[in-house]
Amino acid sequence: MIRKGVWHQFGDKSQTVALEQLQQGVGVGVIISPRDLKLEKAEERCTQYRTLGAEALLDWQFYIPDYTNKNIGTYSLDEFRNSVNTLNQVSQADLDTLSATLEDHNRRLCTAAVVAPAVLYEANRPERFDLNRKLFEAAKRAGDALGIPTLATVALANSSIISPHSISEALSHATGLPCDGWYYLFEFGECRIPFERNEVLSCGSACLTLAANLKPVVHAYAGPMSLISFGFGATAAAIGHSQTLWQFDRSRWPLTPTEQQGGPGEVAPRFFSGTLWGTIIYADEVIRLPHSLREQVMTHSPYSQLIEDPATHGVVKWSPWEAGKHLVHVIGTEAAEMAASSSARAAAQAAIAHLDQANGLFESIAGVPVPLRQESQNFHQRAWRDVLHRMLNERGDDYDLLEMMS
Amino acid sequence: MPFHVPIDEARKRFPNYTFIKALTASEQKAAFHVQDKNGEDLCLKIVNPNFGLDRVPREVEAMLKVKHPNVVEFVEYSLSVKRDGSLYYIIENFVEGTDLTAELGKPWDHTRAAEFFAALLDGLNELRRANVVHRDLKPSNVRVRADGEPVIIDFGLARHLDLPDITKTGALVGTPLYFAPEQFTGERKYIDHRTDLFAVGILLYSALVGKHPFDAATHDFNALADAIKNSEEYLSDPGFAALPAPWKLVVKKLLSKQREHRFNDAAQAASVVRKAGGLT
Repeated sequence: MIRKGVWHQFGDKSQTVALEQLQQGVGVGVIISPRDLKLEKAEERCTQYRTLGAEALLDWQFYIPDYTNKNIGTYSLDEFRNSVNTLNQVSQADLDTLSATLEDHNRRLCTAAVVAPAVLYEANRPERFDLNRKLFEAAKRAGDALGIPTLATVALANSSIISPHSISEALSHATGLPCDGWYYLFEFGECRIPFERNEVLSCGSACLTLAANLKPVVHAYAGPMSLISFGFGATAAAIGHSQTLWQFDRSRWPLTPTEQQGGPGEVAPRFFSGTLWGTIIYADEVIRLPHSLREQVMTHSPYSQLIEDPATHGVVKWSPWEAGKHLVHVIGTEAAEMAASSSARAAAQAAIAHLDQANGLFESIAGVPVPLRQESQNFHQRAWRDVLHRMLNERGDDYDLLEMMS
Repeated sequence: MPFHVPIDEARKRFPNYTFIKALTASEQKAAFHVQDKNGEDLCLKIVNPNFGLDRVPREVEAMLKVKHPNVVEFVEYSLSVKRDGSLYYIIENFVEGTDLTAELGKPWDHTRAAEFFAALLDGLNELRRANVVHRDLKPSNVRVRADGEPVIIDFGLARHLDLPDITKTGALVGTPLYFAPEQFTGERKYIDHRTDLFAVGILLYSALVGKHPFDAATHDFNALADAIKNSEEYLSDPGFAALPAPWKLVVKKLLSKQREHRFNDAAQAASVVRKAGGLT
């Protein structure tokens, strides 16, 4: 009911990137972002995506519910974009209107499922459980009317992962809803790619807990982490070209509007290497690697052809946009292989093997030596590997259950 | 203390019914197997006027919403007014057979367990769809029909989640032997359909292993509460250890201390039970 595999998480200027990737067979669906795409445009785009065999989901982005902008304003939801305190007072009549709007917009976009609006689960904010239940029930009525599944949104704020009790309460609430699956996102502390073991473990454990309730889990804002999402039991993992889509990042919904940035600018592009499962700076770091290591690091994609010829290293200018598309292509292709594993356990084992290989390659680079900048080093690769190992050891029953029912 | 109404007194009160026999009474109700004028077998329950009168409309509300072969069918709820006083009574379909109590005590054949518990979970799933939590699922509230199918009865403590609860916070309702960990908190916000799934876990364990999973603690309320909330000693019971792996998985999942580790709904649990028993 939710297609297994990689989905494109929309952010700013994602729609063309997604279209190109779908044309190349990367991805099985798109997740529309009202913050970044007007409703009319989304309708138009969804028709294109459907002709390529992709499905669509509409993420209402109630995480910061009082945020609004011109794009979101086209979705007839402005009256609901209020502070959590105001939303807590929402009347049944308002919820009926919300339900009708959800039904209308999901119908227009022909979505595969209704994603329920939900505010972030924060620690010590039990009133949010009640609010999320009301919002879910409104969404469920829309999903039932359309005859499509309804996914409950589980947005775990960083505060909720401070104690096992808080995370358990949030999950207990979310798994008690009469939903058909979960749209799951996790807020990490500040880092480019999550590498704090405890946070990654909390993220993975929560995902596996949802999955072991035997309904689909969409791991939203997974980004490079989609390599391990399927080992966490996810059915779908969502990726995007921009760094702000690599994890849930509430700064994307600033209450004080900021000028939209036009792209990555003039910084040196980072080359996403599938074998390293991380980025390495092109051409500064890449060019200093010995030929054999460079060959291993340079993962091919239709966007990397321009820089694959060793003769052009450091000569040809590689556009950061091309680098972003390359990243989506490589992550999408390799994560799809994880998704095709026979079970969550097999996906976890395959991801561990991939990360072991990556760590081995880093060791080889260290032996050269080519000093890599901090962001190019293998912090997350080591952490992710350890977390998957730990989960396989400690959550064997859940993996067994998923295997038994797969 | 069960609410006792002598059968002769009941006969006089309800002359339109033929009284076959008295059934096991609860604190809330005296129950009788009766037949109506057409010879249809029914269960007539007289409500204890001193206990739970406010609950009866809830019970009826819960039962009216559910129509399923594994859930008892409600027929009538009424007030009988006579010179010597008034009584509320409920009439349900009579479920011919025994109650589950008579069938527990020795390990069941696994195929039979799969068929029975999957059907029981199908019934519970209907309750969930109606947003009703039974809260007192125990062997005496599960009838076993002549064809071996289970029927869930007695919604006296059922909670309709769409309505405000009438149980005071802090009050423990139900039968502690079949409580889920959250029932010991007395906090109604923790009670949902997964509370019933824990009780099914206890019943399933009892059927597969032949004894209660926390049987060493059943003599004392505090020991029982502690065992249900914290103990996993049942895992090392030889009877449990000898079960095939899929059955162990199902039982452990149902008996998870935290609700998020049970199943999202009874339908999921039923599909896993069928798989464990080789029915699918």
